[in-house]
Amino acid sequence: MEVISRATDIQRQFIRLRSGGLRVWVGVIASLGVAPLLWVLFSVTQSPGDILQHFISTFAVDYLLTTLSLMVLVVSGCLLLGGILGICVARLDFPGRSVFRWALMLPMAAPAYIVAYAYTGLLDYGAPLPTLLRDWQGSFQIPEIRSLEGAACVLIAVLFPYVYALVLAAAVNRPPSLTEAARVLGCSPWRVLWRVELPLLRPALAAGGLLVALETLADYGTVKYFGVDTLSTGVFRLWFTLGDLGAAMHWGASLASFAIVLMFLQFLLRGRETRFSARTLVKSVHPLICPSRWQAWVIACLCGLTLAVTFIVPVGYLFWLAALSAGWKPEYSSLIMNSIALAGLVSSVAVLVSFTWIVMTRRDQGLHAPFWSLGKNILSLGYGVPGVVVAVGALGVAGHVDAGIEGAAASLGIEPPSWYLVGSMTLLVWAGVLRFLAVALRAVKRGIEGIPRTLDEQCALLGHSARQVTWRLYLPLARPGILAGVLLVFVDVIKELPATLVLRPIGFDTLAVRAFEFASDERLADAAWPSLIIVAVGLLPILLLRPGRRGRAA
Amino acid sequence: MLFRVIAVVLMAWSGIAQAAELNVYSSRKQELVAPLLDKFSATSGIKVNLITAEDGMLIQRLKTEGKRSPADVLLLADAGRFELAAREGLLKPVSSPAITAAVPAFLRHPDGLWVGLTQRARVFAYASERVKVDELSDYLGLADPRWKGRLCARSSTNVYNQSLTAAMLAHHGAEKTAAWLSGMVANFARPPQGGDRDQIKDIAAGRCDIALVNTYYVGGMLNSQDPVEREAAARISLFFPDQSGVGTHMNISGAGVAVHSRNNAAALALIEFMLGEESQRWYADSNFEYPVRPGVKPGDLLVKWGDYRRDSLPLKTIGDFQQQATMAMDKAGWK
Repeated sequence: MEVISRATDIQRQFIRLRSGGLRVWVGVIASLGVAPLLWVLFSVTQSPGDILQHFISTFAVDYLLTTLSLMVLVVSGCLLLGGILGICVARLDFPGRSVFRWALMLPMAAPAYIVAYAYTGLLDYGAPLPTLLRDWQGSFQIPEIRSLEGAACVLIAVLFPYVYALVLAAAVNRPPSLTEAARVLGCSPWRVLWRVELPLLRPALAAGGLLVALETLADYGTVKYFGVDTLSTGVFRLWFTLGDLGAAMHWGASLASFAIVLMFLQFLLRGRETRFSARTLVKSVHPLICPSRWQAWVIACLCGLTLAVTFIVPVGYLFWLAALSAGWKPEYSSLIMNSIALAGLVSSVAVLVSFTWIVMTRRDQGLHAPFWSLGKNILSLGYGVPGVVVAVGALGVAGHVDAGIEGAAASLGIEPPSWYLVGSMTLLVWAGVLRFLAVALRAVKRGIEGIPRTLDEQCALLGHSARQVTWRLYLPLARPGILAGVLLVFVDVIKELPATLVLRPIGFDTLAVRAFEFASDERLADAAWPSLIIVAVGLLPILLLRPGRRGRAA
Repeated sequence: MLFRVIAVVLMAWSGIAQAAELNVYSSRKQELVAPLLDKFSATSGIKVNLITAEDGMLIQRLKTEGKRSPADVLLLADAGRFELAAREGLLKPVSSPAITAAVPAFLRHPDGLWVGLTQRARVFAYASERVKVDELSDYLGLADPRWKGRLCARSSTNVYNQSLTAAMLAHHGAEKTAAWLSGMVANFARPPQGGDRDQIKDIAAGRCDIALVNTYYVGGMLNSQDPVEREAAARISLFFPDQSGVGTHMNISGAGVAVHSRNNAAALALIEFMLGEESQRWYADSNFEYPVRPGVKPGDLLVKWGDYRRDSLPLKTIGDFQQQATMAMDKAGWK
C-alpha cells in the first residue's frame, strides 16, 4: 500500500509541474518572443496615412489580384503535378520507381529565386536559345519568362515536392485494410485507385495546397526578379521607394493576417487527416499495381521529364555558368562563413527553444495541455508570415527597445550602453528563429512523441529526477528528431532572403543576399557559385533524411 | 573553424566601430567602389567596411538606426537621394579647401552636406538600324505615338527614372509631365523590368528601338568580359536629348558624411581621396563616368561622344520634386 502511494507521489511530483507560476513566466517570455509579429498585427489599428492612401488608390488592387492569380496558378499546378506523381510512385510499379521516390524531392533543394535566375539566363528574350529559335522559325516566340506565368512555373517547379511528399506519406502510411476490402468486394486495381485512394488523399492534398499557398505568399526573390508585383513586393515598395515605414507595417499586417488565416485552415485540415492515417507499428505494405509496359514507360518518362525540367536543367545551367565565369572569388569564402554562422545560430536557438517547450508540454499534461498547444501554435505563426513582414515587425520592436534603454539610461543619469538592438546580429537571429520555429517544433515533437510514456514513469520509479530524465532519456532517444530539426532550420536560413536583406548587420552578407544582388545586377555568372552552394546545402536534408533510410524519423 | 565562426559572430554583435575603421554605406554597387576603397585602405591604413544596399533601403536603415548608427560615409548614386537624406537630417556638413578646390559649386551642396564625385548623363540608347537621328529630339518626344511598342524602360522604383521625372516636373510642371508619363507608358514594348543593361540588350535583340540609359553603363558594356554584352552595346547608338532646349539631364554620384559619425577625420580623408586626381582619373577610365575635378580629362570613349549641352538645373531642385515624381509615375501606371 505504502509502495503504491509512494509511487503515485513520485509520479505526481514528476509528471506535473510544481506550480502554475512557471506557466505564467513561460507565457510572458513567449509573448515577448513573438512581439515582432504582434507589433505588426497591432499596427492595423493605426489610421492609414497619405502614402498608404495613395498606394491603395493606385496599385493595391492590382497587387492583390496578381498575388491571388499567382497563388491559384501555383496551387493548382502543384496539386496536379505533386498529386499525380505521388500516387504513381506510391501505388504503381514502373522502371526507376525506387530512385524517383526520393529523387522527386530534389527540386525542393533549390530556392525558387535561383531557379528563376537560371531560367532567365536560358529563356530570356536575348538569350542564345530563344534567339536561335527566332532566327530559325521567325514568328515562333517563347512566351516571356519574366511574367506572372513564368513566376508561376518557377514556383510550381520548386514547390510541388511539398505536395508530392505529403501525398506519398499519406498513401504509404495508410493501412491497406481499406484497399484490401475494396479488392475483396470486386473492384479492379484501377477502380480502387480512383474510387478509394484518391478521395482518401483529399486531406493530404488540401494540407499540401495550403502549404504551397503560404510559400507562394512569402516569396520575394522570384517575383521581384521577374517584375511581378505581389503583396510582398508591395511592402518593400511602401517602405523603401515611398519611404513610409508605418504604411509598410500596415500593409504587412494585412498580408500577415491573410497568411494566418491560411495557416489556421491548415491546422484544421491536419487534424482531419489523422482520421485516415492510423499509426501502426507494422509498416503497411501495399501491393503495387503493374500497368502495361508502355504505360509504365510513360510514367517513368513523366517523372524523368519533371525532374529534368525542375532540377537538372537549372542546376546544370548554373554549373555551366560557374565554369564560364571569372572563377572563385575570395569574397565567397566570407559569404559561406557568414551564412553558416547565421544558420548555425538560428537553428541552435530554435531547436533549444523547441526542445524546452516540447519537454515542458510533455511534463504538464492534463488540464493545462491546451495552454501548451495554443502556445505552440502561436510560436508557429512566424512560418506562414512572409519574411519581410517579420523583419518590419522586428525593426519596429527593436527601435522602441533601443529608445527605451536610452531613455532609462538618461533618467538614471548613466551612459547608455554601446550595444544596441537595431542592426545587430541578435535582431537578425531573433527574426530568423521566429520565422522558422515551426519547423524545429515539428521535428522535435516527432522525435519526442516516439518515446512511450511508460519509460518516463519507469525512470521516475527508479528514482531519477526530472532533469536526469531529460538528459538521459529524452535527449538520446529524441536525437534523430533534434538533429532533423537543426538540419531543416539550418537549410531554411541559408535559403532565406527578404528578412536577411533588410536586417543584416553592417558588412554582413550571406550567400542568398549576394546571389540576389548579382542576379539583380544582371551578372548571372557571378551569382552562379553562391547559388550552387545554396542548392548543395539544400540537398543535405533530402539526402540525409530520406524516408526509407533505416533508423531515421522523417 | 568554430573559433572563426564565433569571432565573426562576436564582431558582428558589437556596434562600435574601432578607431581605425570606417563604415561606408553605399548604394553604388560593390564592384564600382570597392577598388577605390581598397586603395584608400592601403594608403591610409584605415580599414573600410562596406555595406551595399538600394538607396531607399539605406536611407530607411539610417533613419531606423538613429543616433546609434555606425555609418560614417554615405555613397549614393543620385542627387535626389542626397537631398532626401539631407532633409531627413542624416548628413553633417563638411568643408575643406581640398573639396572646395576639387568640386565646382553647382555639383555640391552649398553647406557641404554632400559633394559630387562623378557625373553621368541620362540619354537615349537607340537601334541605329531602325531609328533615324532626326526622329529624336527631347525627352517629351518619347510620349509621341510614333514610339508605340518601341520603348523599353526600367521600373519606376529606380532612382534614375525618378530623378528624370523630377527634373521634368521642375521644367514643365505637373500637367505636362503627367501627360508625358502617360504617353510613355502607352509606348512600352513590354512591362518595365531589368536594369539599364537589360534595356540595351533588348534593343539589340530587336525587342524595342529606344530606351533611357545612363552613359556609364554603355561604356561598361562595350568593355565587358561578356561577349553578349559587347555585341549588344556595339549595336546601339547614343543620343544626347534636348540639345536645343534646356539640355541633357545630368546627375551625380557623390558622398556625404553621416550625421552621427564618430570618425570625422577619417571620413573627410576618404572623401578627399576620392576627389584626388588619381581617383578621378580611375572613375573616368575604369567606370566611364565624367569626373567632377576640373582639369581631369574624361576617358577616350567619353571624349568620342563629344561635348553636349548639359541641363544646369540645380540638383537640389531634383530632390525637392522627388516624392512628387514617384507618385506621378505611380498614377500614370509606370510599374
